[in-house]
Amino acid sequence: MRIVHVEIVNFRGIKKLSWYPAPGTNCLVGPGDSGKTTVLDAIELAFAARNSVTFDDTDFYAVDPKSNPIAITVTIGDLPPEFLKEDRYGPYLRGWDNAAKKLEDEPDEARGLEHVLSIGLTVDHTLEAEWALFNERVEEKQQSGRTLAFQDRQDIAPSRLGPYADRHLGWGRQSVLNRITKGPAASRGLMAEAGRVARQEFSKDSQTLFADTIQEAKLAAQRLGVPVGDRLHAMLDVQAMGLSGGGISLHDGDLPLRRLGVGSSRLFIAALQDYARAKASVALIDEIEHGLEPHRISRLLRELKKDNADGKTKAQVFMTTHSPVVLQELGVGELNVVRRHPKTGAVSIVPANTPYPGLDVQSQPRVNPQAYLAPAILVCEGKTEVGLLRGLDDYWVSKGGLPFSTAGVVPVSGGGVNNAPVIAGYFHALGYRVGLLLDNDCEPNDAKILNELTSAGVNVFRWAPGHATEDHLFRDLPTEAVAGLIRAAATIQDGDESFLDRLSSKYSKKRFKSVAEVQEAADDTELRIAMGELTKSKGKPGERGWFKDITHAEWIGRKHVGPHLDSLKGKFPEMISEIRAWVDREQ
Amino acid sequence: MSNEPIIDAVLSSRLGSVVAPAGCGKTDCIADVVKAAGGPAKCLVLTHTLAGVDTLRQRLKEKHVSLHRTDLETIAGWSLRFAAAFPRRSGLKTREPRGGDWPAVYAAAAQLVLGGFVTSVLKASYQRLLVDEYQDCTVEQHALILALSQHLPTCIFGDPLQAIFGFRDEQLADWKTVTTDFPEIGALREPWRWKRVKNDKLGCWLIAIREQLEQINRVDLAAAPRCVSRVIPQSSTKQDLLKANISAGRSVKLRGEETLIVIGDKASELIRGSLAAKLKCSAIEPVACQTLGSFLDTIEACTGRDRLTTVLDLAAGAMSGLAKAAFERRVTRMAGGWKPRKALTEAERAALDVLASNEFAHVLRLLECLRRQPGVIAFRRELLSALQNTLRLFIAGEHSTLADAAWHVQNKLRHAGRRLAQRSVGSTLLVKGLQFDHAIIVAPEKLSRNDLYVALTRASRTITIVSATPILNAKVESSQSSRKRARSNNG
Repeated sequence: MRIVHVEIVNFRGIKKLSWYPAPGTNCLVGPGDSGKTTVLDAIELAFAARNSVTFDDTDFYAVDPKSNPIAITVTIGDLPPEFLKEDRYGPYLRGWDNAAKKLEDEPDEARGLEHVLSIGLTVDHTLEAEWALFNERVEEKQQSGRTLAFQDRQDIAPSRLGPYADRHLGWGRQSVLNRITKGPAASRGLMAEAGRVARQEFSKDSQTLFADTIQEAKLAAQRLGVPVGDRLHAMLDVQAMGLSGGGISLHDGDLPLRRLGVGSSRLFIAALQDYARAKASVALIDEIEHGLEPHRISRLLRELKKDNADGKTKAQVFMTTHSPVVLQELGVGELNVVRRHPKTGAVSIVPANTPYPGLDVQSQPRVNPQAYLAPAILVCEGKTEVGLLRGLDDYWVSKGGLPFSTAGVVPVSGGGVNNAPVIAGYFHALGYRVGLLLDNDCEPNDAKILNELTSAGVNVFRWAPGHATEDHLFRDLPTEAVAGLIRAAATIQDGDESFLDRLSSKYSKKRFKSVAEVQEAADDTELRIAMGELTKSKGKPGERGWFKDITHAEWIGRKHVGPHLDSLKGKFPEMISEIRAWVDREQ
Repeated sequence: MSNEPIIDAVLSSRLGSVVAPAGCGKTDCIADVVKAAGGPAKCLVLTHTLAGVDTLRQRLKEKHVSLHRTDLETIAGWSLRFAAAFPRRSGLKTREPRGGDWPAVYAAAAQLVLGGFVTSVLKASYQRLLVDEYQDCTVEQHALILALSQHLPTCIFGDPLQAIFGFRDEQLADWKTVTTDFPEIGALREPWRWKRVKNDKLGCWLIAIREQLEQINRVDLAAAPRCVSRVIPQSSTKQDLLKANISAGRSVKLRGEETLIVIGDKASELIRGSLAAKLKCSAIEPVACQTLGSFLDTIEACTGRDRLTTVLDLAAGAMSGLAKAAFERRVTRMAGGWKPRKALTEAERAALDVLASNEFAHVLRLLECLRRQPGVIAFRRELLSALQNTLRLFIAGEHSTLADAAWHVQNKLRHAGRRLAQRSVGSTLLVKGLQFDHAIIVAPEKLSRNDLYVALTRASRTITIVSATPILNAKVESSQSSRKRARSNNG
C-alpha cells in the first residue's frame, strides 16, 4: 500500500490541504506550527479503529466544530489484490493518473490509471467520527456507503513511531508486539494463558505470605457465624488485577526495555515495526532525529530506504524533522516544504525539488540545510555577510533586542553575486519569506534577476553603489574600530611581514614598518580604501581577503559594527537598519 | 448422477458450450462444476430469470456448495450492478431501467468490460464464468458475455431447441454464432427428470425426438410410450375442439400434490383465460402483462359509463360466474333513477360510485366486491392481484402514475417469484423452465418447433395432446419473427 493523495479540511491548524506525496520517503520540513505533525496525525486517524480515538473541539479548525466540520481523505494505491474483488471494495475503486498527478473518480486500467481507494474520515460538531470509503458516486448517493473492514484497516494501517513510543515495548493495545503475535486474537489467547500462569505461581507462596491476615479474617468471620471453610486463601483476582497486555512488557534481564535511552528504544521499535510490516507498508515518524546521534540517524534512514527484493522501494515513509543532519542525509526529492498561511490557514506542501532556473536544487539540502527549517531566510552574498549579521544579532541580543531565531530568520550564504539571487528565488518559490543582501561593487550576470525577485516579493538589500561589505567596514567605521580590524587582518594573514607586503601592493604612499604603524594611520582615507580592496579580494590562500569566514565576520559585527551603529552615517547603517526592520516585520 | 466427463471438459476449456436438453440435469451439472472448481476465487454464474437464480441457489445448497463460492445473478442484475458502479465508464443512463432500457444496460456493461476499465476487478473477483439458458440470450447479452470471456474462462449452457421468442423487438443471438464463439465441448444426454419418477421411457423418447424435430420439424406420436396419449377431436369446428379440450382436461387425474399444466396458444392471453375458465385452472400471466397495461391506459383515459364498462369487461375476462350482462343492466338502470326493491349489493354500490366519481378507489372496491361474490371463481388471479395491488399503491399516493405503480408491483413480483396453482394454464413462453407432473397440449398445430419441444418436455408423468393426427408438424415461422423473442427477464 502507498498513499497517493492526502486531503485535509478543517483539522486542527489546517483549514485546507491537498497533497500528492511521493512513493518512498516524504520528509516534511518547515517552521513550527506549519502543520507537519497534523498531517501525520491526519493520515494515522484515517486508518484508526473507531473506538480508539476521540475528538474534542480543539481538533477542529479555529476550535469551531459548528462551522468547520473535519474531513480527511486519504487515497491509497498499491492495493492488496483481494481489495479489488467486487464483493470487497471493487465497486468503490477510483483511478489514479500518476503521470498527471490526477485523481479520476472511476478506474480505467486500460489507460494505465492505477486502482486506488479513498478513505474518508469526517467528524462534525457532534464529535462523532465516521469512516467511509469515499468517491463521488457515494457522495451523489448513487452508491451505498461502505467502510473498510476493521481487519483490513488494521492490516494496512500505517505504523507510527512517535517521539516517545514506549507502548510498543509492551503488549498493550495498538502495540506492534501484538501484530507480531499473529494478530489480536492470538494475543488475547496468550494473555489468558499468561493470567493462568500468574495465578498458579502466585498461589505457591501466597499461603505463607498472607497467612496472618487470613487467620484474622477467618476468626472475624467465625465470630459472626459466617461459614468460611479451611480453604480460605489469597489468590490473584485476574479481573481486578487487569492482567491486560499493557502490564506485560519486554525486559532485558530484570530491566524493562522501556528504560532504554530514548534513541535506543526508538531504534528498537523501528526494527520491530519493520518486521511487523507485511501489508502495512507506510510508516509515520515524528521527529526522526529525536534521541538519536547523527550516525544512528543515518543508519535508520538507510534502513528505511532500503529496497525490497522486488526492487521496489521498501516502504513509504512520512517523517518530520527539525534537524539539518537529517536533511543532509536525504535527497532533495525526499524533502517537502510545509507552509501554512497564517491568516487563511491554507497549508501547502511543496516538493523541495521543484526546479528553479539556474539552480542545482540537488545540492541545497547539503549546502543550506538550516534554511529549510526556518520561516524566513536572509540570503547573503557570502560568508562575510552571514558572519556580519550573526555578529550584529549577538550585539542586538546583548542590548535586549529580539534574536533573529525568535523572529524566525536564518542568514545563509548564497555563494557569490550570481548564485545568491538564484538561491533567494528558489526558497521564495518554495514559500519562504526571503531577503537578499548583496554587495554593490559588481552586478549579477543575469541583469534582470534582481528586478524579478523584487517584484516577486523578495526584499533585496544593497550597500552604497560601488561598495562591498569590506569597503563599508574600512571606510565607514570609526578610527579605533578600523585599527582593530587592521590588527585582526595581520593576525589572520599569518605573520606581520606578509601582511605588510600585501598592503604595500595596494598602498603606494608609504611602506609601513609594523602593524602598529598601520594602525596609527587608520584615519588615512587611502589606507582605508586599500584595506577594503585587499579585504574583499578573492583568490588563493594567502592572497584571499581577510574575514572571509563566518567566525571573523561575526566578531566584526559584534565588536565593531554593532556598538558604532548609532554614530555611523550613510548607506551602510541605513541598510543595516532596513534589514533589522525586515527581520522584525510580522510575516 | 455423474457428469464427470462434462465437468472436466468445462473446467479444462478456456471457452466452451454445453448442449443441455430439457430435464438432463443442467442445473445439477452447473452446481457440480462450481463445486469442482473449488476456491478461493468465485465462479460467476449468470442466468436469465430470478426463478432460474433461485433454482440454482437451491441446487447449490443441496450439494453443500458454499454460496460464497459463487456470484449468482441474472444477467440483467449483474449488468446493472457493474454498470451502475462505474456510470461514467459504462455510460449507463438510468439506475432504474424499464423494459425498453435493458438493451442499453447490457451495452453499458459490455462497454465497461470491453473498455478494460476494471479488468483486474473481474480477474480478482472471479475464476470463471458460467452462463445458464444461453439460448435465451439476446444479441446484446451475447456481446456482454463475449466481452467477459476475454478475461474469464467461460462455459455456456443451453439448448437451441428451447429458445422461445416472444413479442418484443429484441433479437436472440443466433445459436450458430454462439457455438462459433463458444465451441461445443459436450452434451448432456441422460433424462434425469424422468428417470427420477421411473418414467425412463418418456425421457428417452423425448431425447430421441430432438433429431427429427431438428431435421424435419415433426414429431411422430406413434413411437411415443403409453404415457403419451392423444385426444382426437370429432371435427375441427370450434365446438368439437372445445369438447376435445374439456375431455382432455377430464382425462387427467391428479393424485396427491401432482400438478397439471395446460399449454395453450401463446399469442393470446384472452384465449388462455377462457381455456382456464373452462378447464377450472388458473392462468399464469406474464409479469409485464399486456392486458393489465392496456387496461390501465384505458381506465386512466375514460370516466363514468365507459370506465365502468372497461372494468366489467376486464372482470369478466378474469372471473367466471359474474353474470356481467345482468349486473351492468341493473346498475345502469339504477343510475337512471330506478329504485329496485331488493337492497343494493356492495358491488352495485361500488359500481354506482364508479359512475359518479373519478376516484380510482371505487374501481378497486368494485373489483374486490366482485371477486368476493359467491359463485365467482377467478381464473386469472395473477392478473387481478397485480391490478388490485397497482391500484392500492396508486391510491396510497406512493406513485404518481398508474404505470409507475404497475411497474413496481411487477418488479416486486419478479423478486418474490410466483406460486403456481395445482392446475394452471400457460403458454410455452410462460412455462419454459417450469416442471409439472402432467401436461395437456391443446392446438399443437399452432406451436413452432421449439414451442413443441418445450411443451412436450414440461411433464414428467403423462402428456395428453389434443390432435387430429398422430404426426405433429411444427408450425414454420417466418425468418423475421423467428429471430425475435420475449424480454429476457420476463419471469
